[in-house]
Amino acid sequence: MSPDLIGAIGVGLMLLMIFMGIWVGTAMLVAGFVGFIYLEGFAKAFTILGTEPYSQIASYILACVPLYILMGIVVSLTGIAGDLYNTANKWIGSIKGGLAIATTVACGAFAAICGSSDASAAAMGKVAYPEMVKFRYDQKLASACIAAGGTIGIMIPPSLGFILYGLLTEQSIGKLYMAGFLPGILQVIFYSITIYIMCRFKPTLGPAAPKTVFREKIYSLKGVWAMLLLFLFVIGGIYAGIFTPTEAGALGAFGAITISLISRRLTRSNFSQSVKDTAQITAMIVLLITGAFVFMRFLAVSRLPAMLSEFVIGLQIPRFVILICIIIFYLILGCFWDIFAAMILTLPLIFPVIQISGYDPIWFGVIMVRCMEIGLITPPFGLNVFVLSSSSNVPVKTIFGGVWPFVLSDIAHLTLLVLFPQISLLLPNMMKH
Amino acid sequence: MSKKFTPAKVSMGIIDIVSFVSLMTIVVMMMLTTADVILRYLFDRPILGSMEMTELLMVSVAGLSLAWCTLKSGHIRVDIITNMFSKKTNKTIDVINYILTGIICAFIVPALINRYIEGEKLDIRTYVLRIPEGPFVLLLTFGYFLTFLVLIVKTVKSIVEEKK
Repeated sequence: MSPDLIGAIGVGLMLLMIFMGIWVGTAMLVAGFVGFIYLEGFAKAFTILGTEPYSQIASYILACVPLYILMGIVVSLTGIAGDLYNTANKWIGSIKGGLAIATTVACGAFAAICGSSDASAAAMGKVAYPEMVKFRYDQKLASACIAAGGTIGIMIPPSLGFILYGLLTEQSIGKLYMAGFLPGILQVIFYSITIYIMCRFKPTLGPAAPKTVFREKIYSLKGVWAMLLLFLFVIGGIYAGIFTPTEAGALGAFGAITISLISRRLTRSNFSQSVKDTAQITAMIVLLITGAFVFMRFLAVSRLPAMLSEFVIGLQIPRFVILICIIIFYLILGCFWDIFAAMILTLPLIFPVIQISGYDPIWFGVIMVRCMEIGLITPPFGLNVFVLSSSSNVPVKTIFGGVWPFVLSDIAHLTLLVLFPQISLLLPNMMKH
Repeated sequence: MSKKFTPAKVSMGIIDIVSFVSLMTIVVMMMLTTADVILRYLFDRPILGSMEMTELLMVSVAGLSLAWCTLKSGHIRVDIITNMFSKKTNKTIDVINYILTGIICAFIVPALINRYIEGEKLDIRTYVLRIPEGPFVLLLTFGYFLTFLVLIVKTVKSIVEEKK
């Protein structure tokens, strides 16, 4: 059997294990190790198993994972979501659909500190949903705007999705963060316009909340200014080349803990829970990364990625068609798979094709994350919908029934990002380092 | 009353201690990097070798929290198809999962020990602080060994529950 055929069998074996419910990291380790033994012999495979788990983990870049996770978890456990929603509500809640727009804006702001989509949906579900119900908002609109708004979490930095993409493709995480910033803001604008149009045509969907005076608006900033300043400090530092993403993560986590301590929101149990969750998620990523790199080593000796790239180029179809196919593939995959699993499993095969087609890898990172975001709210397995349903007791069917205008908005947004790569690449190209 | 110490209880006790150390390591990593940035920009006195210390601390976090994450079954799995299976089938899949992960850990542990021995022969150290890499390789090995123990306990527990 030719090495590339072994590579294809290895991919098949790994997918079989994954669909049978084996941990993704284990499936990649087993398939990679067995495949390597077949192609290069036991001694070399054994060496790989001794080098990859250490060399991939002893990484300064990977160290930003626990730091950003800690920052996000501290922030989400200390009730900042409520303050963000309250502030956004005071500023824009009085227009038609204003509470839903305020929720989207608050989701964007929360994403800027938290970096996790499901955490954003869960936190906002507890805070914003009861408020919208109180003002007789349509249940579908109220729940769907939270589920959709939560997806912004992995687009606006800090984002775990971009860290993983950067690690697997050896791209600058700082540049990826910057690349996600404008698309994230644009996503908030797209959602806000969608809500406004819906409520304009059918005002009963989202009645206006009572108006607030300017003093109230200013006063509402009291609970959020410190965290927003921290975000600007962290991201501004990366943009200006003052900090590395790992340093920014450490400063962000330290700042979030300090602010929460000063505002007396961080209890001992909150802090202990934050660090425990951080350790658990870090270990989960460690197994995934180790599995991914062992599997990538196997794929490299099988030459399957190179063969696939040559095959795609040999088809002589316009590169735009290849891109559209990849986007459709990720949109479908996002409906069924966890973003991290999908990224780690597909990038070793897809990324060489993107590179050989001449697309910018930073821009593609944004497109990929955007595609996976859409999967978070689409049936049958939209993660955010299930998270929101469990945190707010809204039936899954109701939320899925309301997400379609947001999915359409997502498609329009994605199309814009594909047609105008400058939106994603403007900030990375302006970065000092 | 005399407390009965079973191997499973001892393993779990060790994991509790190890996971606590891992939590502390995350905090140390954060403090070290923050202090480095503050000292560099405010006092022009960066901490020498902070980058490699962070790398070594990352290995420590990984090694020390892996068993704990496995104990909590915190690893990513795709359950689209398995959700359709019966509870009993899912239990069987869990056992297969634990055994497969256990086998791979059983290969990783000696492979890492091998790397440690080779590293000691070559006296591999970090570039700036000249910290030997060996102890950290051993720490990661210990993490995988603990994970292996956790998986044995989980496998036995699942089989016993299934029989009941």
